[in-house]
Amino acid sequence: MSLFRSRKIHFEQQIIAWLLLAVYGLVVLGPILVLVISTLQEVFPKHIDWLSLAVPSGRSLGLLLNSLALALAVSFFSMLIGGMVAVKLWTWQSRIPGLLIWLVLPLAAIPPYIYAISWFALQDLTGGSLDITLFSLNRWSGSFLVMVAANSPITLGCTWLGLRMIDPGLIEIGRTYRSDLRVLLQIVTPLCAPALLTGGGIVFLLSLLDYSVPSLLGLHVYAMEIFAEFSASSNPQRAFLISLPLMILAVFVVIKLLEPLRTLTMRAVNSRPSYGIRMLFPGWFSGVLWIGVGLFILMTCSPLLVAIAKSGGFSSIALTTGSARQDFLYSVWMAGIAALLCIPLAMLAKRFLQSSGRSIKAGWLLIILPLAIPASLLGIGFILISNGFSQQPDAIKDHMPAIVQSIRYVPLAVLLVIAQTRRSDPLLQDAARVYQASWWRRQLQIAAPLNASGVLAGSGIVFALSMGELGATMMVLPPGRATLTMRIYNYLHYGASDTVAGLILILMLGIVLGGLSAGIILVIWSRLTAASEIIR
Amino acid sequence: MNRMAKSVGILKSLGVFIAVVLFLAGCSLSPKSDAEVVIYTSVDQPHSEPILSAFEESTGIQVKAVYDIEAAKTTGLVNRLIAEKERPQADVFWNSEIIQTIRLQENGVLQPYLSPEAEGIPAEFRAPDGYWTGNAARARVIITNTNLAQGSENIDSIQDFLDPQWPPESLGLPYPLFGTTATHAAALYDVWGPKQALAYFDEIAARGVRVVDGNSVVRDLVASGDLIFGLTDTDDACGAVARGKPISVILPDQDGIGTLVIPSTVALVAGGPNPEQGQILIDYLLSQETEHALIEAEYSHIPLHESLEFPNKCLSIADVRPMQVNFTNVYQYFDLVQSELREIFIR
Repeated sequence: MSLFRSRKIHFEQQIIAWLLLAVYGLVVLGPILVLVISTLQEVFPKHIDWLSLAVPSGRSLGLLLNSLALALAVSFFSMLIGGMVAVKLWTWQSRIPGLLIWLVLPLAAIPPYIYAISWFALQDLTGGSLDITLFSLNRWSGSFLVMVAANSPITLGCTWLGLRMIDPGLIEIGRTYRSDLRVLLQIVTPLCAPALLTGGGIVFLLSLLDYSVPSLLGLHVYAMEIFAEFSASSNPQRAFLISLPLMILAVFVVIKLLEPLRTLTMRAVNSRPSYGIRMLFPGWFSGVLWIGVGLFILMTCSPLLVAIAKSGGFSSIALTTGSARQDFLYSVWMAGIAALLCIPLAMLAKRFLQSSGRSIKAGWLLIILPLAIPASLLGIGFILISNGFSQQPDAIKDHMPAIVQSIRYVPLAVLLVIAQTRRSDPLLQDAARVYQASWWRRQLQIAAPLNASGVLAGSGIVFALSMGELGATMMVLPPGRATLTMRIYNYLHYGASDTVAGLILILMLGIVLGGLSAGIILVIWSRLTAASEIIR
Repeated sequence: MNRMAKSVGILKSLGVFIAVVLFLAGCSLSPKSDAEVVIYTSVDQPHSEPILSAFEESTGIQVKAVYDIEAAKTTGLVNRLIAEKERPQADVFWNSEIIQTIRLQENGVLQPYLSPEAEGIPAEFRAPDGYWTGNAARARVIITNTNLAQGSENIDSIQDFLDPQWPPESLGLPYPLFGTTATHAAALYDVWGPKQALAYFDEIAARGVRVVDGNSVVRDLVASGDLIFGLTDTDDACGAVARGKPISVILPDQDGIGTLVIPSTVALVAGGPNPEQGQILIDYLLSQETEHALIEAEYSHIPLHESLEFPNKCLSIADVRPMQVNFTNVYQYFDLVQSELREIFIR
């Protein structure tokens, strides 16, 4: 029985569902709403001419098209490479791929800027002899390569999830009549398409809104225009108006993502391998898959390899770790709090999606919308909210980065919570309602264990991404605090490459260990709590 | 049901474990102090952090610093200060240049404070009404890769970026919309006049001179040989020389308009939570000892205190002929520079 089966919803339940969504929307979209209101207040009485900023033309239209082209190309190739690696892992009949995924997925949290710097450092390390003339690290090709490297883990993760959701029976039936390659292309790929498109859509959004890598490599994109305006005028309302075309594009993509997202979340993730006998592909196709794997390893491992090479040895790393201890601990603290804060928000969204009927599409749009908002505008929105309070408790001020990070990444947590929820048997919840009268005990003893794997996965992703978040964090960072990512950028500018290398190593190890831990706990949890077997 | 009970137990244990880890992480962070001062600074963290730590040790006043990052392209701290104007969190703003400080003054973010330590600083490097005071200046310099720049003895002016002798893709300057390069652009508008300055930058763009993300990127590209020469600041240039990179540093236009000297600036934020401590910190930052420390650290190579000697570590700067500018006048061109150069360089 599907969790999202259609049924008649009582009027009270619909009201509750919309109230839940309103709470979610207010918390998550509050900063942007404040920015919208302040912009309207600024524009309409005094500065109606500013509205022209929201209509790109001439030079700014060219920038927008440039951004669109880059984002589309990055999204497509990320899907291609992530898809190839996911298929290779999926056809590897072992439990190792399940663990490897948790090693690789957290790499998505490494800021793209660091990938770019590692490529420059690689050239430097080789004395400039690494002259990749075909893909020289300039402008378009360089930006494209770096952003594909930074975002491929996301498409890999989504495709992996999609492959695990395919009914193994369909694959086995297909293999009876056709070759494994045709089964992959004609059965597996269409069934996995929603997951692949979801990953590609997320990568598109992230690429569209990023300016750090293109500006480093001299490529002009629309996101740069937003920051140039912000730098020139110090006016967040003008920057918001300029960002509108980008946000509208991003919202359009979010709307297009709704259908694959809903399809994705209506399926269960299989805990056992999807097929019996290992799939066999023609040699040329296996070669193509291996090329994809090789490219993926080369691109995503380059920051780690360069960081190890330039870090100056264990003593240097130890020294760097000591000097960055406070920043590292603060980053872990904020990321941890962000991961915890996203849980109630994700559960609110999940509750809404389970309760609502025809309004589910609108709800999904609101839930996913934060992905379409540029990070620093989110930060500015928070400052505007803070300005409205004469006194803020220190606890709130000190944890503003965690709040901002939680809001930025909660849509991803919602996706994972929903996807994992599909694994649990709804009969258990129904049985609990019959036999356990106390709501609290039902939540603690039945609902929490059933939701734990999804919550853990969602929190893990939020933790990993929050460790590397910069744009919104630096706008709300309380005085006296700094994150590891900020220290990396500051030392990067200063030119202390061995210190930067050491800090990058610490960041990457922290993120990867966090992701790996979440993965190991999930695997152990799944084994210990095979809840669906209890009913039988 | 044993499995469910076990799973609840594991869940509780996991929750306790996570709570303990986060608690320990949070407890390891520095505790609050009674006497504190909040500073926002865009001076490089490796340089400013030791200065602020020394201040903490000598005065017992805890310093809570917020550092800027180059990737923020000055949208970070300056815009945060403007956004927080109604409820300021900062007491002191320590800027690595001057134009953004004047902008904060124009936006009513600052309040005047005449520090006794400012007495030895020339009048052109401090606001007459005390809104800001300069110290520890840097110069805009040209750096060349010594392995590549044959004939580099002829490179002595920013006009050399237009010299057909040099392939434009091998020359670089940072975006003249941000940071000290924006200040430099505005200074050229003031000295040459807007028409000539615009024509200069037009030709830079038309030639295809590489425009890159910041001073540090120019430094790294020249050091690696991707560029023959480029425009940057003395701290970036001399830092690379100190790290053994094949770079030579040139003071441009010594026979012409002069080399632009940009002071760091210190200012008191209006309505800050700790104004008295803010004034004590400003006095410390403007002191000769601090300026000397910044010179020793090779952040600055141009002391503004008349009693301090010019260092001779990276380049002979004692006889530098500075560009004759009034920074308040330079600021008047800032908006024009932003709007015109954005049309040229972001397309």
